Amino acid sequence: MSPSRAKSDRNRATRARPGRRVLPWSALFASLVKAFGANHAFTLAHYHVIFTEGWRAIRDTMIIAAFGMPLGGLFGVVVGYLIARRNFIGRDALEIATMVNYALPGTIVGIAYLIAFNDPPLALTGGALIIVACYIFRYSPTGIRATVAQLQQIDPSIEEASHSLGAKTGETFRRVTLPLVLPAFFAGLGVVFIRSMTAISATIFLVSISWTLITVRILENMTELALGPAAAFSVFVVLAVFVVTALVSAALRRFRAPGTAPVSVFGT
Amino acid sequence: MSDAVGIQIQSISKRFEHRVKGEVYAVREVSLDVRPGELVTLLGPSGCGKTTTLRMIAGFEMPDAGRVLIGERDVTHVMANERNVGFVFQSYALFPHLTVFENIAYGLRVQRCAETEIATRVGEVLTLVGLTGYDKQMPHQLSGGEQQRVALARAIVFRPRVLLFDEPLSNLDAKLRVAMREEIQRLQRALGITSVYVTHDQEEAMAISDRIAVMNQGEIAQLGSAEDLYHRPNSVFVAGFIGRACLIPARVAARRDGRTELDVLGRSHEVSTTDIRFAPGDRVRLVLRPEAVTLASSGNGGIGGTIEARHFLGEKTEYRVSIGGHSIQIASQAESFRVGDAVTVVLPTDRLHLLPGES
Repeated sequence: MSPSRAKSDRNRATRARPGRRVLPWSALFASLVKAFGANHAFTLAHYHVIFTEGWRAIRDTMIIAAFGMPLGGLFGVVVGYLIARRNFIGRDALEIATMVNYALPGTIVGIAYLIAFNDPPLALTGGALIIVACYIFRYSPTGIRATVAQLQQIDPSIEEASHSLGAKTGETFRRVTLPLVLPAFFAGLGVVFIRSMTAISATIFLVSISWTLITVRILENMTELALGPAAAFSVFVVLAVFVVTALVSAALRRFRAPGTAPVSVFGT
Repeated sequence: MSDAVGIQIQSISKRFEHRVKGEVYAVREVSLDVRPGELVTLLGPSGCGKTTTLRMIAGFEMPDAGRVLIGERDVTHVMANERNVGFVFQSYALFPHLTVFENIAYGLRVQRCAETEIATRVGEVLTLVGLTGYDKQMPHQLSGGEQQRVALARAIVFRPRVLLFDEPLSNLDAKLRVAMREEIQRLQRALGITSVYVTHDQEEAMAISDRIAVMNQGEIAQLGSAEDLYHRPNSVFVAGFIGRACLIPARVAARRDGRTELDVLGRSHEVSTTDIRFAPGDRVRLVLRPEAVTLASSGNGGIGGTIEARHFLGEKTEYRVSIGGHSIQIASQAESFRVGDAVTVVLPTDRLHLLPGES
């Protein structure tokens, strides 16, 4: 497709859905005025609110995303490796189970987690761990599929070569497989972070007095018609996602193995 | 290499589950004794079990029955990483994220060798394979031939006890293939390392091997030198797989003084074979190599025939000649015959091989 054709297609799409470009800017606008639609005097008060009263939600969200991100990335790579390279009983079941977590509606997953982890010995309800676990298992399929796709491009004889040179399975994974699937790891990492910042459907059942999330606060603010703080939270989320996505994309470019196809943060 | 060890394969079998055929033998009761310092080639068509046999020697596949010994050590159930075997793959299998130096140094790093020793040994093998100065290159920056040299260097740098090659030249073009097979032969001879080489290319096998094991349907059809296999094939399969052969039915008329008189297409022909398997009256098949048969003008005392096809190939001309209802290939220096010409086919007396006839 020629550049002019692509540009014209983009313009057509934008004309068809004007909200696509206007909405982020309207959120920014709403976060910087006293009362959106009534009083458009400039103010930073809403940002003051989210960084004082709303600080706990920001802190909790960032902590949960920071823990979930590497764990989710690693989980995706390990499960992807098991599915693509190992032969064991229950491999297909594992693959399906990981996909089911993603395919089910968030509300169902949230209620399922709530019920499953409400009683000892795994009484996680109310803590951060259950939210982290939910993010890892629900949003790791991207990392898993990226790892599987990456490994399918890599000749298994590369790993056999490592074995023939004296390396054990663990050493082969560390020295050969892991460096080659790093792009998939970063793709999974990015998706888990983005979803940790933006998801609400499953986690709305999992937040508590001790641990809350930005998205839940946005919903609460909207319910209370506090549009300004909700918009300020939204702008913060957009900026955080933008920064982390840019960093992950840079890492993807840096660690892409020569001769392998590029992997997007948003999957393969 | 003075401490070269042999490889013994004792009645190994490997079965696989086939979706349609059920359980099939990829390798069945194969035994092979590779002498220290020798290069033996496993040669055969696709699916004959040669690569599976090689992978069982390497430890990538475990046999369902039988034993594999490297030197005196039974390695049948030893993991691939503990066998000390160098393996050169068809696809090169270089680590794409590592430089040429790091690819070659990989085995030494696994063995926890000192940095100075690694640098020395990698430098030595780079010189040996003619890639001095390539150490900082990435694999994707190299040509196919260069990548295969790196793979070879990587396989020999850690001084393995045996070297295994799985169709290492099949991804190279014809000219490079010839150059690389000479390179492999030179290195193997220089290092004196016991080697098993897998290929489906009979010319490559004949050029490089001390002995060749021709495999068919999971079994070794014949083991011998290239000359043995070419001049004295023990089956129709081997006769057809090693070089080109035409099979002409004949009958043993008489045997005397190490010579056998044959009835070939109604004409008497005496051959100097000492094969004692055949008695007068037995049906046999004559193995005719295209270059062993002479083509002459009609009426010169041989078997009469007609030229069916002619292909001028420069150094020789190939003819397809019909004799007594059979088509045979003849490679001749004579260029003057044309399609449709009546000719005489003169069979040699000393370069003919006999196989049992069809029952």
